[in-house]
Amino acid sequence: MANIEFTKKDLEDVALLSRLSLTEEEKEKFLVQMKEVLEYVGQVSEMTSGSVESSGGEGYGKQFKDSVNNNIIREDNVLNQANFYTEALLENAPIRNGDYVEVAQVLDKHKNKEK
Amino acid sequence: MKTVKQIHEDLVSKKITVRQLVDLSLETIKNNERKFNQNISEAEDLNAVVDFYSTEFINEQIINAQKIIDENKSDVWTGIPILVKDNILVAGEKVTAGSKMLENYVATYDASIVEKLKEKGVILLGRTNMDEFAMGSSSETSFYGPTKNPFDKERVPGGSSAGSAASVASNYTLLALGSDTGGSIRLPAAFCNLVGFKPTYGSVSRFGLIAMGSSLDQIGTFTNNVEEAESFFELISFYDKKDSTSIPKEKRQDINLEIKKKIGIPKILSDEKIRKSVDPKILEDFELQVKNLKTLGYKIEEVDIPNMDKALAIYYIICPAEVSSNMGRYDGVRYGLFSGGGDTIKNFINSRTEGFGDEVRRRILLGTYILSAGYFDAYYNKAVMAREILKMEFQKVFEEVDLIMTPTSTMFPWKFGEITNPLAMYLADLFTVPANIIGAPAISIQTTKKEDVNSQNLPRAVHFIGNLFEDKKLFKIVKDLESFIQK
Repeated sequence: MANIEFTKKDLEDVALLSRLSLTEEEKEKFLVQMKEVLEYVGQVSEMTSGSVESSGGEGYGKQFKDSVNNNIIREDNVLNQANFYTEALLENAPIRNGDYVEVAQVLDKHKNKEK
Repeated sequence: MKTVKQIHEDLVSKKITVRQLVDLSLETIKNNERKFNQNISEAEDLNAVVDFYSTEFINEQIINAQKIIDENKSDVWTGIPILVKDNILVAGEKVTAGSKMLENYVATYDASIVEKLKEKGVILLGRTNMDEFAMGSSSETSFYGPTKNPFDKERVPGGSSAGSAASVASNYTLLALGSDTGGSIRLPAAFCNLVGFKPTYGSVSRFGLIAMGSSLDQIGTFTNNVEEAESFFELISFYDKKDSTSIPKEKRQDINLEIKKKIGIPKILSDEKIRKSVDPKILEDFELQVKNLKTLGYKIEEVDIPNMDKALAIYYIICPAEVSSNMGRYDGVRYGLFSGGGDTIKNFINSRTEGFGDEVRRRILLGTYILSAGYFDAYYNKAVMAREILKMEFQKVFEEVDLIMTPTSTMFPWKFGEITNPLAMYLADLFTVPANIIGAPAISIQTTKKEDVNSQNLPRAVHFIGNLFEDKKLFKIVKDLESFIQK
């Protein structure tokens, strides 16, 4: 298994990208556990790819792959009656304000002025 | 215990009504679950069922099913109660995926298979416990606490579809639905002495299944026997235009029923390093099943799938990558847990940190890392290519043999808290993961009669992988072995 570099800084960067926060204790724990997993999965690099690349992966379950790998598209039409799901969807919103989903303020007036 | 067929006959001949049947199931559940019965001690509690569906919905289904039966239009599954893994959507009912994130989430539509089951009058009773978002092999990651193994309550029932397995093993219902991304049906089936079936990828619609690893997820079943897995599969296997990976009927390869009577055992099973990672008693039982198949006239051949032992490494790249994208939708804005206290970004972070448990967060972090600019080629692209290599290696072998045979798990059900290292737990899935990587159908069947299983004699199982769309052939051969074992 390859020795990989996965630092605390990497973990913190990834956590921010993932919109997750970790306590110091969790960072220590996750760092060890994730490093172990990353080292384990590193063995895929030992697999040679020449034969597959040259054949384009043809053969195995040809029909299966045709179907899975092609984009499935449809007309961009509304299929349900108007407002059919509205109430049920709004009911699931954590903060509802009438027929709106309420969120925190995105634009900050004062900050913009300072700029 | 009666089979589905026998109960169906009782329903048709009016020996029993649908309501009586449902009441029997509900009573059995209430007698074993502390949630519904305070007389059950915590030690006795199975914790397999999260909740029943609403009484109105259950009543509506009973009336509908009885009507179908009275009009002589019934299917063998009409009126039969089943339980549903808590990640399959039923309109108007809660569905949590075992997570705090979705604790109060109410499904806004039916999963396609739920729509089909309603139409056929199959009775959906309630939701079963599971590892959070189906990530786990022991049910210990569930927000609702772990499910116990019915044969030894100090041991895990396997995961992630833990509650479904424990339910069928405890006779709550004759069938429960699960989902299998890397072994999440077959492992708990092996640990609970049941038949666990994962169909060919694309044969059962995933529309309305809460996504974990979309290129790997597949809905399947827990049953007491292979015949019932097969007849239910026929019911839920159809083309669904709402699932872009559902395979159109005409594109499903001609089912090749020609049986060569040859079973392949992967060479890695004679590898000393691999053998050391498998419990010796599991290997011993495996040899016994090989002998049984030989007695039945099957030729057993060693087959070479050089990269089979890499499947787990491929899996733990592709799966977290897909997890990190699939979990992106939980932002605490449109649905799910909301923890406020800050600006938009802070609210995202607070909601997701509070809503997700350790294993889910670990996989999101791993996936985000793997997909990040500097590592995408080294990990994700390599894994996608490796997946193609593995598919080709299996293809070659299926030209020679009908099925591939392995143990289901490397371990017997372990005790709660015994395995705390994530990688060590992942390794239990060494033999189940390859089927998800290549999309093949696979089944685990119990090799011990139920009456002989207890805490001193834990469940044993054997696992078979078939070629794509050869689910029928898989059933046929496995039924042979099953009747030999059970006679």
